[in-house]
Formats: sequence, C-alpha cells, structure tokens
Amino acid sequence: MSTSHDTLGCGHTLEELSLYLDTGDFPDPGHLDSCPECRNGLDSLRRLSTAGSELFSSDLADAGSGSDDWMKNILANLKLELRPGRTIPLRSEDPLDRLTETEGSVLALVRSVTDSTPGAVAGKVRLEGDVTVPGEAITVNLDLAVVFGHPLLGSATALRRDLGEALARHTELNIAAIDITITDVIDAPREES
Amino acid sequence: MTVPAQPAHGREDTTDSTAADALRAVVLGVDGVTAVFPSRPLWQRLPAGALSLLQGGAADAEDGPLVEGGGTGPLQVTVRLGVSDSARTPDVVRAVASAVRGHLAPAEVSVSVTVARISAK
Repeated sequence: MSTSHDTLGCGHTLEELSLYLDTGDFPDPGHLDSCPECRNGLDSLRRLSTAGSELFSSDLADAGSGSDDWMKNILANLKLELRPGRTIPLRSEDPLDRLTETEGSVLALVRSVTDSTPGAVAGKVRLEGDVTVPGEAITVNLDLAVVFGHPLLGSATALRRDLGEALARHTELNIAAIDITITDVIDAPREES
Repeated sequence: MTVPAQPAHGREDTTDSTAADALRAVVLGVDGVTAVFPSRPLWQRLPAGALSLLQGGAADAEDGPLVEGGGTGPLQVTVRLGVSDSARTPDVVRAVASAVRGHLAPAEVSVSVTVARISAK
C-alpha cells in the first residue's frame, strides 16, 4: 500500500497526533490504543514538545509551523520513521516460527534513548545496511541537535554507549558503528538584563 | 479464522471469542510484553476481517493474535506486540512463541511474532 509522505502507514498524520496532544481531539480515539506507530509518534512528539517548550517557551504547533528549522527537520524525519519499515529478523528456537521486529520500533528506540540525553534531541535516525539479513554489518546514523553550552564530546560518548547497550538488549543486529553527527546547535534564549 | 476450541452446539461465536481472548491473555502474561496490537496493520486487515465473516468466526482478528489455518498444515498464529524497554526483546519474543505453542498444544503451530513498539509502557 502506498501512502503519501505526510500520512503514516495507518492513514493518520503527524499533524493529527500533534493536534491530539494540544486539544485531545482525534478522529478515531480508539485507534491510538491499537496502533504502535501512532503511539511511538505520540511519545516522540511529547518529548519534542517538552524540549521545545523548555527552550523557547513556545508550543509544538508554533515550532512545526516553520519558525524553527531544527524542529522542522525533526518533524520531517519523524514522518518517515513512524512507519513499520523493514522487517528485522530475530533468532527462533523452532524452525516453524518467524520472529521479527519492525525497523520503526528500533528507530523509535534510538530516538527515545537519544532524547533522554540531557541537552540533546534526535534529528534524523537511519539504519544503514541490510537489516533483513542476520549478521549483516549495520551502521546507525544519527543526526543530533544539541543545546548550546552542553559538553558535546561527553554527550556523544555517553550517547554512543547508551545506544550500543540498548541495541544489544533489544535487537540481534550486528552494529558495526554508531555515527553521530551534530547537525544543529540550539542557542537557547538568554534572559534580558 | 479458526480457533482450536470445542464449542458446544450453537455457541461457536462465544467460544471462538473466548479462545481468542485466552490466547491474547497468554501473550500479555509473558514478562516484558506491554501490549498486544492488532495482528495486522490496518491496511492489511480488511481481507482478514472479510475472511473471518465468511468463515463464521466471531473472534475479533483485529484485537489481538490472529489464528488461521487448519486442514493439513500447522495452525498459523500471528502476534504483533509491544515490549518493555527494561526487558530483552529477543528473549521476550521467543518466550511469547513458546507460550503460544504451549497454550495450543498438542496442535502443530507456526508462530509469527512481530515487535512493533519498544517502550517504557
């Protein structure tokens, strides 16, 4: 099934999820309990909303409407990541079984771990390599927005360690590298003196 | 849709639904499982729903594990779930497959488990 870039695999949109967080309105409220992609999206939007309001005292709708390029980039990437994506195999103890996880669940995990790092927000998250083949070398490419004033090297080192542990715990991927690129340094507003 | 139960005459719908609920409870009872999602994404569900109606099964294929098959091959069980980020996802998935197989024993079962969400809750 093909979907537009603005529409998630379930037919809903990131804008609808954002509106739901702002107003509580959603066309099909029951869907939010049964759709893992929408729930992953809501988690990401909540973290973004928190980060956005902490930095700029502005709400997510304002940020997403175009006033902040870094937030716009994150939202654009979220639209792509909130899909099941490729199927990642897991080892099975019975030859009749087929055990897998979605690429979307792993991307959401990477985003969650990254967003829990103080002063950092995940931008683009990609798994480079054929994740559908067991043992294939995979590189995690992560674009990061960081708040000015946080120690970049320390954050990146700690984040790489945390991501490595999370991916080892939740996947059987052969992670060859975790490449972190700081693409945005967010200059938090200073108090007027 | 086929759910391996032995319904009393005239009570197939209720028993099918009960069997599906029981299977869902088995999956949710595995440590580390946080949610059981519809076994197929929304855009894949309509054919399954139509099949269920045609076969007279009332168990809701949209709410949890999907059981298909019968005949000469193994039962096909499809589960889509969420896993706690404090668990180890591969272990949880294998435990789910084992629990489903144990629940449906002695039937020959092929279990398909997909993790769609890894989160704190």
